[in-house]
Amino acid sequence: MDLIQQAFAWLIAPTSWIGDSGIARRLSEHLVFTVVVVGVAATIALPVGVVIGHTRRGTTLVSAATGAARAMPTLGLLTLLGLGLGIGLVAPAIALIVLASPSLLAGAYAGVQSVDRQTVDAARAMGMSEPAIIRTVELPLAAPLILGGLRSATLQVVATATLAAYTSNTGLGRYIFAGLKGREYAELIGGSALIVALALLLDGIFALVQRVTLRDPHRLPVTTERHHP
Amino acid sequence: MRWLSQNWETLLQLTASHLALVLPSVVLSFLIAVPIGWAAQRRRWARDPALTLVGILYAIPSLPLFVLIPVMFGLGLRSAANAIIVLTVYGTAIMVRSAADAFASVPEDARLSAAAIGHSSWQRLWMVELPLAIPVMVAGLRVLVVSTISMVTVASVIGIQNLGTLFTDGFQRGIVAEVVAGLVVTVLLALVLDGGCILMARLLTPWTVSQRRVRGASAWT
Amino acid sequence: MIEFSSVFKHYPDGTVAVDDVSFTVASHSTVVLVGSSGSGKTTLLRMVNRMTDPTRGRVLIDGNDVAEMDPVQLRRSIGYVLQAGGLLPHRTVVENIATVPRLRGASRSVATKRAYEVLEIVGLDASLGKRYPAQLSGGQQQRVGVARALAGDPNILLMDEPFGAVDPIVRRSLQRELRALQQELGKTILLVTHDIDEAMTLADEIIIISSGGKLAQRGTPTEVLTRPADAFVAEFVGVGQPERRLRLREENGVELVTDGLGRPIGTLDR
Repeated sequence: MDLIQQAFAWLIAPTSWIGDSGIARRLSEHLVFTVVVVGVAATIALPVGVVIGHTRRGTTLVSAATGAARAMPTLGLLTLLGLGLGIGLVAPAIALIVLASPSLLAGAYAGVQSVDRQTVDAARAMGMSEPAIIRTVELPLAAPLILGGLRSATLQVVATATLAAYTSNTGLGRYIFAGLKGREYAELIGGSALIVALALLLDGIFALVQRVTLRDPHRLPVTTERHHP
Repeated sequence: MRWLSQNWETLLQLTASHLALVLPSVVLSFLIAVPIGWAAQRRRWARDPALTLVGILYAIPSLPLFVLIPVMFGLGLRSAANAIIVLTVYGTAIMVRSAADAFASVPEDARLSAAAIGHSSWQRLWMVELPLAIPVMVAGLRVLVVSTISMVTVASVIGIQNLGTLFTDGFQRGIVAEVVAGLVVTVLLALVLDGGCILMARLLTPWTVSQRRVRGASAWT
Repeated sequence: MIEFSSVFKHYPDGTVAVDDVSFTVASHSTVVLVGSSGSGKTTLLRMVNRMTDPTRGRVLIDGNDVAEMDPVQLRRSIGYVLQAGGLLPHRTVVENIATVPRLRGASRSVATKRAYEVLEIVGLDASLGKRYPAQLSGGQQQRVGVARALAGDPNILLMDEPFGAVDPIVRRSLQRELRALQQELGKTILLVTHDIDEAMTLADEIIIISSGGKLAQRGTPTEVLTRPADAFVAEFVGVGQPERRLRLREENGVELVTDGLGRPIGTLDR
């Protein structure tokens, strides 16, 4: 329990928050890094997922990518790229973009693919062009699943950005590695708690956003069928 | 290749340690998750708390958990128990949802008919619901196995020996071959165990094979 | 004998599924519950083996209130045939049929032997025994459903839309077979259908349930057709419909029976 008290003391001490390796700096590094990585991954993966979902061509790519990302150890990719590209931010950024893309790809694909074919057929029969179908029919209906993909990708990047501190001097993960090396347990435990809090906070924000978007008045309520005749 | 020929003993040893962490975690996660998944599916009051809890657990990054769990449970940072607990937490989070989906996939007709011909509720669970849940359950188990094999490598940065040790050691000493060997062996291990899951599912669910055959045949009739 | 005594079924949301229904099913007879969908006829059927319990009233089998029996034991003693057979998809035909004997504690070999016996009774080839339900046609699945219900040699058979999932031609032949089977076995059968023609074909006695779960009329097929109790029954049975208003005329020296619109149905057999 003593360790927890020390960690708490470290967390609330003003001196921990300022300076080049202060919490404020590390936290913003972590967040900016996460936003950039998710942004780049989304720019690449979302359009691809939407096109695959729309055309139904290349569906094996989606399952292969998600399977590979699941089997690929993050740390292995980080260290391999770190050895090749040096200890800057480029190596972890590439590794995380590669690993975050499949969730986004799968979310976009699943979202568009789940839209009722009859609805799409009806839109086509009314004379809508394919881009118009994607824009006005498929994307709005796919939004919840796309958002779900964005949520899991973000959480994944927040988590792996911690690991990125192993090969580069960035983010909240530094407290863990520095703490382990220097046996600074307050920093080690306090830093860990901060990362957990950040992840839960982001997850909560996403949950809130999802709840608000799902409350779309155009969406019909789900009715359950009565079982007894 | 030269690194491999000089270090294959280390590789074998690390693979063994890797499995010694992965297998108990997978078994524990499965045993914990299946009853929770069942309750989440069949008991209305359990659904929201179970799925919310699972969502929260899944959102927590693994590395800080490797630090916090030993503090909470008074374990050694580098103990195998620490790694197994962390991996079980994630494994359970993954598996609860799959188990709930698996029980949801059991046809209502089959449940009803099982009750109507006189299965007690226990018999219905063991003899009807569980076997019929296997296909979806195994899909979840495959995700569980592959993710656990990959995730355990993270534990190497706090000094728990497994195939991830090849990454940390290779990185610190600048040996690319060692890191590559680690990646290849980890992915291979995942592929092999995943294949094992598929094989096991085939053996346990002969009726799905026959359904596939019938579906194929229906094109001709 | 099955006896329904002032049975009600209300649901918490206020729906009334069964409203004060009383009737008896005599031993060794076939009674058919017929009514439009949602009339509560299946609910009545399910009260016999306690898949549903009545809100008020009693269901008695040979004078014993089912409410006092253990539901699981009760269900094992009653044959139940569900729509599409209600077969368990993960068990072979023989395993499905052997289920009830096994649940009652019979050894695997005894139960399997019994399963092959009833498979023959319902007219299926023993070679189908090792197949899974998905590998059978709809009609075969239905027969296996009947075989499974017979495997425990129950006195009572409950059948819930047993031929609802097969095409009309197969349904006809299954109905004929059920009648032949019943002649031989003399079970007490309570059957639910929404098809009045099926009721006419199979029933010793028909019980017509109106929407709202009220008993509209009970009687033999002849009584229901010749003396409908009210306008609802007349409409349901189709008393005034051309299909039921048959005529006789002579064509090519043969006495031809036609419906009310003059369409031929068959020839007269004197």
